[in-house]
Amino acid sequence: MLAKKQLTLKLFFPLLLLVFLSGCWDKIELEDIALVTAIGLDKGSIPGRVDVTLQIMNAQKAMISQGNATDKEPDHINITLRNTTPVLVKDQANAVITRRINISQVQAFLIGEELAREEDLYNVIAAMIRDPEMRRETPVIITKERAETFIDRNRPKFETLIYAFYRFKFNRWKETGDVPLSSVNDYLRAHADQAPYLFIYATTERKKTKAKGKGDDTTAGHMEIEGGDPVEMIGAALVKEGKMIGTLTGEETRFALLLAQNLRIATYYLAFPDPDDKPWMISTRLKNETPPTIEVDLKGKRPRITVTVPLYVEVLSIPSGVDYVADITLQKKLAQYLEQTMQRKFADLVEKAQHTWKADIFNWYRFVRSRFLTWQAYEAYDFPKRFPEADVSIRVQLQMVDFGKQMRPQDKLPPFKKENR
Amino acid sequence: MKRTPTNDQDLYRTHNPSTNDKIGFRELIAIDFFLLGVKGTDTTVPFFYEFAGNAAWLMPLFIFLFILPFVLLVSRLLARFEGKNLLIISEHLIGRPLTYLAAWVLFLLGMAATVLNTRSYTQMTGIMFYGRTPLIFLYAVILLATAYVAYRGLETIGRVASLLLPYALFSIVLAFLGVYDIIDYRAIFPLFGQGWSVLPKTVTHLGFVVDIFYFALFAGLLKSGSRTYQNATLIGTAMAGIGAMGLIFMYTGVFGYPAVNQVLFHYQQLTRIAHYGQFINHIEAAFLGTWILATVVHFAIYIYTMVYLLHYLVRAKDMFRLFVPIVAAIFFAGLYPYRSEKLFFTYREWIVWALTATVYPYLLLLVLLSRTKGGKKRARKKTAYT
Repeated sequence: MLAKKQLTLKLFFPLLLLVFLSGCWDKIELEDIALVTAIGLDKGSIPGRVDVTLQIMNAQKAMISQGNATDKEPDHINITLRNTTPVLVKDQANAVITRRINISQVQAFLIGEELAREEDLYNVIAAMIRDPEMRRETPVIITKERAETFIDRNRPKFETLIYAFYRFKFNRWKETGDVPLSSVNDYLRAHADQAPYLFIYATTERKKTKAKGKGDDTTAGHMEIEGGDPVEMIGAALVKEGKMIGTLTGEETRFALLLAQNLRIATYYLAFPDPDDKPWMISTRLKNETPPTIEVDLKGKRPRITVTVPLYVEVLSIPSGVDYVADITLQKKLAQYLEQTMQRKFADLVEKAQHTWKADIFNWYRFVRSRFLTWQAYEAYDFPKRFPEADVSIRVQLQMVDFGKQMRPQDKLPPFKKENR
Repeated sequence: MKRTPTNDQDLYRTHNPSTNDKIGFRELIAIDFFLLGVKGTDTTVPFFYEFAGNAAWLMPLFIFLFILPFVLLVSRLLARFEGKNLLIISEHLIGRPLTYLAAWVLFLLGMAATVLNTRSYTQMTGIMFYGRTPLIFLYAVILLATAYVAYRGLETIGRVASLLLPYALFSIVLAFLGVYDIIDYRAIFPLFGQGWSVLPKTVTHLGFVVDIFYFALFAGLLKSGSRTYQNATLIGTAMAGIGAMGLIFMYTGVFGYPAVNQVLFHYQQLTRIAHYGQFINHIEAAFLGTWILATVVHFAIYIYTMVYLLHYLVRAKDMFRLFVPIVAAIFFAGLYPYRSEKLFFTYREWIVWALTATVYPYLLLLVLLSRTKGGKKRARKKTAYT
């Protein structure tokens, strides 16, 4: 009897092991995988196919180097597969790559402008996201040149491991808003809502620009900056109905995000010509601590949208030496001037959105939605069609907060200033 | 001589000699939560989106209002026959043959639902996490684990559930914190979604929550009987409803409506997005742990219920011998290839329709007959917590 029980137990334990070992079916050794950092998509020479570029990171470099064999290996390698589809790539790439391709740690999708302008972007992205390994929160960048070229030239000076480049870059944009934080998830969402979408716009083709003194009011590739990393990332690519139709400058992107009540931006720096002393620029920090209020009135024939933007201004530098700090009348004048300037800039952007692009880049449809009780009523109203003829008024409510940590501008103007004017 | 189930204490082999083989208030709350709350993470969610559009997150509340009178009626019924379970009451009220018929229907529909759901959960796990493991193997492992918990008996299921409940609630909160910054709450507008058309669809699909009435089968095993059933079911269902509402709100807020319609496996995709700060991300595996345990509890209750029903139907002496055939039947039926996800939803809908059309009228019939045919009147007042 006892022997029989023992035998049963002896048989039982191997079976039990079978259950626990089943987790090993999907085991992946870290050594065994090639981690893809970025995927680039370009128009292929056959219609409907794309050229896919994989940037594969050398994971062994992530360890602190102690003079081992990997020292001579490159940090990452790029391979381009022509006329294929994003899903097929994982297996095809192994023709030239030794290890199993893993795309679950991809930091960014890069899409060439040519592809974005000519093919249906939605189909391209939706085809990729079906793969369970893909992540919906992955950022998407539209590159001015071919994504292949972009990836090849993108060798940041400080970041040995390329994934850190994307990580830190996006983290910074969260605060400045010069670039929209575009992700696959948000794009699919906007597409289903029939809304346009702003993608990050970047390039490695940095040119000398003719327009001077524009600051961040330029698109990627036209900034007046020398040196730095090869990649210039500023502004946004506007995609409407699956096709890219235009670009926004850095400043326009900021305003679009601000008016969309996108809270991810907290403060940003802007410079204005001094109203009292034209050639000098006043540097200010604008804070939108409280989001703009957006009121939608759908009673009339045309939708009326009233946006009130409360802005808190910190004046950080007054190189002209005009004493705005102590003089209340001058302060009022400055506030009025800033208000008007901002209002004009906003109005220009709205005008552009309504008449040039005919696209609701401010996502105001989100505020129209809450005016309806049922989905059918909202669909029947068809806001995307009505947006171009909407009556938009934007008011800026400006509040001077402080003048930085200095008391007043120079008590005595330096002598060279008055003379050299 | 055939045995008839008259005394519940006979039926259940004592697994834990130190205890009384009963489950109490806390256990039943946890069990109800795992019966219904887990549905906020599975293929029930697409149905809600289909019915209510962007107002899908209000569906749990809506359904709760619908089943509230049923819960009260059934617990009143159980109170009249305190200490007896639903089948015995049914035998008393409508006779043995009709009760057998009803039990067969409950059993077959319950089996079909269990087969479909276990299979769908396996697929979810397989596609999202175990890409290379064969589905058959995964299915077998999940079923084995589930069957083991179920085999330990109702008390063990209740304990496992009540131990796991805080973790399950915590993981929902954790998921919310993880996606907090990408939720756009404006996606829930227009508030009423698809409008009035949701009403008939909800009524015909009340079968989604029929599980809590299956639990009236074990009324004899509840401490303080019908009082426990009523209070624990209401509280447990409400908790599950709030949990599911929170989850569906997150899905709408994160994926956006109508984009959410294209999403399959909402919960898994949500946990893939969840992140905490800049460096803590890609931690879906942490959520998988709690979720798979919740799944095991969820199906353990199903399997236990099925075994109990079959035991009643074939009048087996020892219900615990029926585990092997039941689990084997579920396993082999679950291997049926659907070929498309669409077909799966069609089958699921048929079963839900059938459950709605049979269980609710059956319960109503029992409640109506109990008013004329015996039982203790005003029994609820005499029963108190002991």
